Amino acid sequence: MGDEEHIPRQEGYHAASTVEADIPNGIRISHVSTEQQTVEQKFRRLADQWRKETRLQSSINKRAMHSAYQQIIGMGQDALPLIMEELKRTRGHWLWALFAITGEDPAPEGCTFSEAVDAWLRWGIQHGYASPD
Amino acid sequence: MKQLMRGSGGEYNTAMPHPIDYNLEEDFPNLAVSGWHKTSEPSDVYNCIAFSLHDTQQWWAYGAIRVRGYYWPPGLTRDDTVESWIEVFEIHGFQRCLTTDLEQGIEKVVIYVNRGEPQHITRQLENGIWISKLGPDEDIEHNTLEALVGDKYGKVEIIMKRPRVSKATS
Repeated sequence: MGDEEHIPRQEGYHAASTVEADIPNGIRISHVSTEQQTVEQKFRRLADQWRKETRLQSSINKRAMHSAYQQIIGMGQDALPLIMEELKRTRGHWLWALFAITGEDPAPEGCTFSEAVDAWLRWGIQHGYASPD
Repeated sequence: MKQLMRGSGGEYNTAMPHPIDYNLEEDFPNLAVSGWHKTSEPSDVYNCIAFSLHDTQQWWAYGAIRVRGYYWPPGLTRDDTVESWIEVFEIHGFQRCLTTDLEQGIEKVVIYVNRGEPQHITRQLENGIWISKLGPDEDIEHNTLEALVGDKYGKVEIIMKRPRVSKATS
């Protein structure tokens, strides 16, 4: 899968589109669509399960082949903003999933894990999947 | 040999116990008996293989797909077998040996194997205590090798040694 196959997120880096409205008394409410909330909930549940069940595992193959991680990969591009958010927050082992979903590897040859994380975060910003701040 | 306090309430755990401490003793029931303490916060940057070779900057692992950001010594077998782990340590001067006893001027590492697959490697410090990096989790020191024996890491199968090349303990 090449770069041209990515659909830029024009609306921002969040997977969920939020409808906001002002109501009397100065209260502002927002509503996230059920479908998008479900994607995020599914991701959080799988990510938590994966982290918990692989936290003592040093083999990247075994960690990446865990069923929860594979299900996240199976979520495809919908998962990219969520993975990017998680990568930014935890700097954890999301490189395999990002590579599997996008078919790209923006990290330089021979780089360390930390350098690869930085490269992916830059890639996420460039492609509209991550916030620049 | 300096002995560590037993369990998570010993003198080496001066702060409030981290929730992970409790989980570790659930994952490794022998830890509490052995005596242990945490020596670092969790880190995704390096793993047990790297740590056993004094490297805290890289995650040593071959990848079934070639995702960049992981290190594996060039030219070595690329798989998750005991033999390939042994190979990694052989090119860094280690050779197989029979005893885990503390020897002056000798550094030892031990590979834990579960169902024929390597799960973990730990390194012996100069005082005889063992130091481990647990996956992406924290580093710990543990008095005995039995501390990590169990369902997660299996049992001690391979012992290797080399002359100590550094006084570094991390």
